[in-house]
Amino acid sequence: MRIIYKYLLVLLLIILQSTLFQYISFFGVKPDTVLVVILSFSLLNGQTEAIYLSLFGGLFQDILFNNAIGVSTLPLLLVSYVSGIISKNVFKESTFVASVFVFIGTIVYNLIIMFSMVLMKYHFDFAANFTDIAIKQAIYNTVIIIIFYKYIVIFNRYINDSRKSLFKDM
Amino acid sequence: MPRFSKYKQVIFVFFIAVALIAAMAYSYGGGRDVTKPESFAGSIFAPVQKTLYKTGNYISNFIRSIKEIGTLRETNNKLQNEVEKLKKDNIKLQELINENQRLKQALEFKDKNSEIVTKSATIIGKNPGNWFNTFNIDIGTNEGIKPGMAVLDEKGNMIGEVTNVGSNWSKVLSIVDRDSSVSAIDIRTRDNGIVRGDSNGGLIMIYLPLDAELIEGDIITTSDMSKFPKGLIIGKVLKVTKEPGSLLKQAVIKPSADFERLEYVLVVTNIKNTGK
Repeated sequence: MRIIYKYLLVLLLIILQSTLFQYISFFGVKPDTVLVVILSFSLLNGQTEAIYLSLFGGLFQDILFNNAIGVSTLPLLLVSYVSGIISKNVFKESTFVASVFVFIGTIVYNLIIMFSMVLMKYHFDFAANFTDIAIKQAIYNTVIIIIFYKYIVIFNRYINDSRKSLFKDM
Repeated sequence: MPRFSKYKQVIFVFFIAVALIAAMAYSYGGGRDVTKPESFAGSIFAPVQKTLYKTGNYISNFIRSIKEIGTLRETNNKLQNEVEKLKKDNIKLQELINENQRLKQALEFKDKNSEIVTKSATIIGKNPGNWFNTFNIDIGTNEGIKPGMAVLDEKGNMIGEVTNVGSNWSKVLSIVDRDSSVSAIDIRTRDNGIVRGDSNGGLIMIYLPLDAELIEGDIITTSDMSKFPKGLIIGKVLKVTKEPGSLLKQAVIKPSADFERLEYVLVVTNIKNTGK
């Protein structure tokens, strides 16, 4: 039953992201903690979990805040699913590996959003916005993952332990 | 089919992705009726968000006021001088208003422009991402809010437009969002144009004719040619530019509202049926 904590954490982060984290932007860019956490769980637990978590977190964000449903779910799903698949071949619990995943993941995430904005006929300057938002956010997210990844690993172990013990009892 | 089962998940994800793109295309643009589950999800989180947003605002205000302590006396003096000046202007304007009314009555001029009616609301959260400038407010269909209504800040400057409405919450598209466009007019020269958001929290006025005479410092308001009531202040002209070879001018507008520190807003409930 501890698995529900994971979803509660994502929910909590979505709410914090829209309220308190509005005040911690640097150079006009906010970090995306929801992406960071969902990406970390996908790294640790594989792609199946990536699908569930990203659909849950992404759809909640879109329904509550975005005008187009799916605009943050799609990049979240693709990025975390692919990193879930790749993670089988790497040492997952190293902070360095996670930070590389988050850095590249954030850039790809923003590229997919920009792609969907092109589909929706938004007017924007691609190159300027890429450096302005995508790169800055990637750096910001990487700093966050470097600080918090070890706690996410501990939290994840705590959840998985309970699942194993549940099976042992049966 | 072992081969199929191996790729089952990938195919599944692919179909979800396609469905999401379809959902984007369907729901993009706003003005659509919010479905029951969406409305329900929003109304659960509205109170929590409201409290947290207020807390954040309180902390940020506190830090800001500490920073401002040094300049308080100076600003106070400046403001007091301005109040004296404005009081005198006000008396003059009152006389002009009376005169205007007398003349209108004499001419039997029909005034179609009724006073704007507003409902006050509190912001409960802003868009978590960096790409879209939207925020949510704490009133919805329960207070008669409809998509397309204009949203003002406390001082009456235009800040956005209601796009989706839930039972006790609504999504507002801010005018600085890239997707927003508002028909606007220069109050001095009567030049018409469209005000769009740019990426950095500023505004650009486009489709200005080449002979437009607007200059730096002019005030831009909503024009009478959109669904919004006319005369809502949008911002001031920062600079006017013309790209070589182009037949139109552009103007960079500084929004009058402070989008970083919004807390209470006013929703204008009069809305016209014509135009977009």
